[in-house]
Amino acid sequence: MERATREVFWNVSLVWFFYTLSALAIGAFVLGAYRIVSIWRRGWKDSRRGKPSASLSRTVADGLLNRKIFRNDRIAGLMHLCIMWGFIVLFVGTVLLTIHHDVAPFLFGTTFLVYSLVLDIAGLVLIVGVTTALVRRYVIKARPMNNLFDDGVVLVALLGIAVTGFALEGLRLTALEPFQDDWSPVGTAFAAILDGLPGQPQAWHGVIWWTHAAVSLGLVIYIPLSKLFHMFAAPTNIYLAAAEAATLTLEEREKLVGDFERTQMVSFDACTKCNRCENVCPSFAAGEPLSPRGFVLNVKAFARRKYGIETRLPGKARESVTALQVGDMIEEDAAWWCTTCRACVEECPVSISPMDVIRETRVAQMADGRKVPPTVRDMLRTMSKHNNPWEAGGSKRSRWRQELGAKDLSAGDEAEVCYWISCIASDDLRNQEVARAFIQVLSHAGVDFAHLGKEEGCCGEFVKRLGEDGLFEAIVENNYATFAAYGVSDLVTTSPHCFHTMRRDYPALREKLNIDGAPQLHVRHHTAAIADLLESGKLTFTRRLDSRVTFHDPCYIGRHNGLYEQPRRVLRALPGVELVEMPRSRENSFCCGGGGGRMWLESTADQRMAEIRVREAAAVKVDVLVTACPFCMSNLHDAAKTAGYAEVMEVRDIAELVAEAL
Amino acid sequence: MDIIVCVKRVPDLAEADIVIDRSQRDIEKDDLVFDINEWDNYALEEAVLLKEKLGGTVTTITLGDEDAEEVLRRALAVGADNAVHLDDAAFAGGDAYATAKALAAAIREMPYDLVLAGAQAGDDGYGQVGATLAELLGIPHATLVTSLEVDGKIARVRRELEAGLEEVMELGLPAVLTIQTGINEPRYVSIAGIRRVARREIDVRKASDLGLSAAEVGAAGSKTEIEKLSLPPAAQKGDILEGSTAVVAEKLAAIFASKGWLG
Repeated sequence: MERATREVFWNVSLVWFFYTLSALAIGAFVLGAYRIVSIWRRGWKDSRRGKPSASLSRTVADGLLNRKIFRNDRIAGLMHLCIMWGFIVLFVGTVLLTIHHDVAPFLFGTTFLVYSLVLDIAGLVLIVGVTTALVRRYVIKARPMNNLFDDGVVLVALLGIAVTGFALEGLRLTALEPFQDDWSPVGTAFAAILDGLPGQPQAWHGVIWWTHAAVSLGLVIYIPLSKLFHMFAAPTNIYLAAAEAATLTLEEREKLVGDFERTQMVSFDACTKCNRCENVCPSFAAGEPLSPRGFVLNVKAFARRKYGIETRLPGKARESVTALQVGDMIEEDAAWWCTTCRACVEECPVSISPMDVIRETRVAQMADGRKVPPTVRDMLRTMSKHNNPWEAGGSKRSRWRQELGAKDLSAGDEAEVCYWISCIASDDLRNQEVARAFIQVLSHAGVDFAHLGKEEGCCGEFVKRLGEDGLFEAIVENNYATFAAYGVSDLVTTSPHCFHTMRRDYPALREKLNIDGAPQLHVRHHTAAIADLLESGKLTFTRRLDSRVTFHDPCYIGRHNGLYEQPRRVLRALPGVELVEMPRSRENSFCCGGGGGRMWLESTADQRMAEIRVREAAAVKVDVLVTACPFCMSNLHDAAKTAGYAEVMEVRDIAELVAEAL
Repeated sequence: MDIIVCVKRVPDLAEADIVIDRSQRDIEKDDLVFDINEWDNYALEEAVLLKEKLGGTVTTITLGDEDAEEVLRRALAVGADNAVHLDDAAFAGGDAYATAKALAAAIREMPYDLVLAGAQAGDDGYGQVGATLAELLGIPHATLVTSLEVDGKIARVRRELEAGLEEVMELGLPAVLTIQTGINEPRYVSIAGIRRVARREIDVRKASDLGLSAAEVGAAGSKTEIEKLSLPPAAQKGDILEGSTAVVAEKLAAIFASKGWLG
């Protein structure tokens, strides 16, 4: 028997014409890809390099295996794996066939049979994936999407290519009866179906072959013009993505040319508008005018307009484009709504950080100054004058601090650990109770601690999130000087925001600014400190609390710093406390609305994030909604009242429960 | 359109504990923080907004010691093109008249279509410099301006009167306008913005540069003199009503009724 193989271009005339079209399509693709990559290169370069092994394993997990698409949605994960791998295998199959036909024939016998079987399976897998996508997107509407024209084009084109491919195989098999020895189960099935067509299979084959070729080559051209380019941009972005955006000093920033960091420019093209970020965005959920997806795409449009190669064509008014500011192209005040809760970053399947992109546009808006919301403007001015965000001058807060009865470094006391009280716990009545409770816990455990008294200023965390990096730099330098003066290096704080910025932002600036004598900080959040005390047996509980509680994960200890277990360990250890979880907890926790400077912005939306969250807590029927953040406390405490739960549910800090059980 | 804006560096007194110093003619300033006078900040923004709309230049001018330079830097960061600093020991202790005289001497030599100043200063609160300046320059003025439109050689302004009334008037340019807060939303001035103008030159002038003798300016050239400062008597402590919501509401209603506020 003749060895099994396949005649390439069977029944096809004008093969040269097909080659010409292919060359043109590839040319168009290269031009389109160059256009995008040249925009990427207009971003500035972050000098930090992640560990290649970590970058690589992330690229394999998130890129090749779609790990994060599976997160919270298995069907979506399977669907995308089918489309992606179906597409990859079919593409490789086409390349192999080209090699077989034009370079070195090798698809004979068993090799050919395995080849045709694998391609048959890949085609079927692609059809299953694309069909699922079409059904989810347009029929059952699995989750809120923002359907644009190219979403439909891409799916229909892929489906068309797969189906016409099988039709061609089926017609070829029909025409070449009796069937060769062939491992093409799907092709054979199509042959059986198409057997009933009137006329010659060759005639049908010719028409469908050119259709298949046209759609395929069209798709090649369409890749860099549509979201399909994510097949290159997404893995690139996943590989390049850093856990945190780069910290830049004012001096470094003055030397920068461009509006965004290079990987951020890549990330705009990695976005497929899958809308997962919008689905988890608390601001969007509350009906505020921010969509992380919309924001990223707006900024992408901005980058295209300012940096696209079109702007270099002769006769274009270049000046107007080069002067283009990112603020000119984002609608109204979108950048200011972000709570920097990191839900979008956690959720994005391709490692985009809308949160950092938003902060970067805030930096630009700060430099311009005209669109900074007046409440934020006033707070920043107060901050730069009084070293705290609330005008309540130093004297009032230092009096309160003196009344705490704890040691005070500014009064000459000494201690091993510094309790950084935070501004909000010093000025807000409800949070003052939390500070007192934590002091009670520390004292009970015999910790040698003191606070900074009148010398404690603001940590500046929200100044950084709001994009006023110059002021933040001044604050950091000032605080390092205080730490050096009072010999402070070991800190514990009740605010996740102070904790986060001292743990993440301070060391980066300390290194870059070369701050003289600045100590290396060891900062702990009070949930972790209490968990440690518990573990070392320093806390003995004598009172039963008898209550059913749930824990609201503050974004800045949870998603930003991964402290999920510590608070839960503490709560489970409290006598008589039953801990239940809300549907959205840990990585999926829903922000109270207080981060990112939002404490200084009034929402005009109908709903408040904190009210949504309080309702969620009430739905699991708890007596106490426990949190561990002064902003969460303020917002949730207010929301419990305004949403009508004040009588049935308390909002308390974890330190208060611990203190009560002592 | 060339605009001159007069600015002043003043202590921020909104939340400060004010202490009268030993001379009894001034307050302790060591623990106070200083900033651009709030009214001047609105005047500056208005000038820069006009420049952004109509073109031209904005020149900012201040009278004060070397620390006053920081408000000029701030003004440059907002968008002023030039900065003039009247800095001379002879200027110290001047009242509104002496200040206006020095400003007038400097401004007279510059090209201008409009002079803007804050309606008053947050520290001494005279509210007279603008009007006096207009008189010395011999040009029209309007005070407490809450909106401003420039149409060729005419300025159309609204100015605040008592009891919520407003006056609409037109002035031929050049003119002096003193600006009331709320006329605009002043932009934010970032630390990066101030750094960007750190090396811009500032035109420093002494009394002699303005053709003024030491006797004509500062305390010596003033028409008024502060004899003694005193703090206003502290307000009476309020009463705190106690009891359940219903009881508190009843007590409150009784108080309102006793004052005759319930009709």
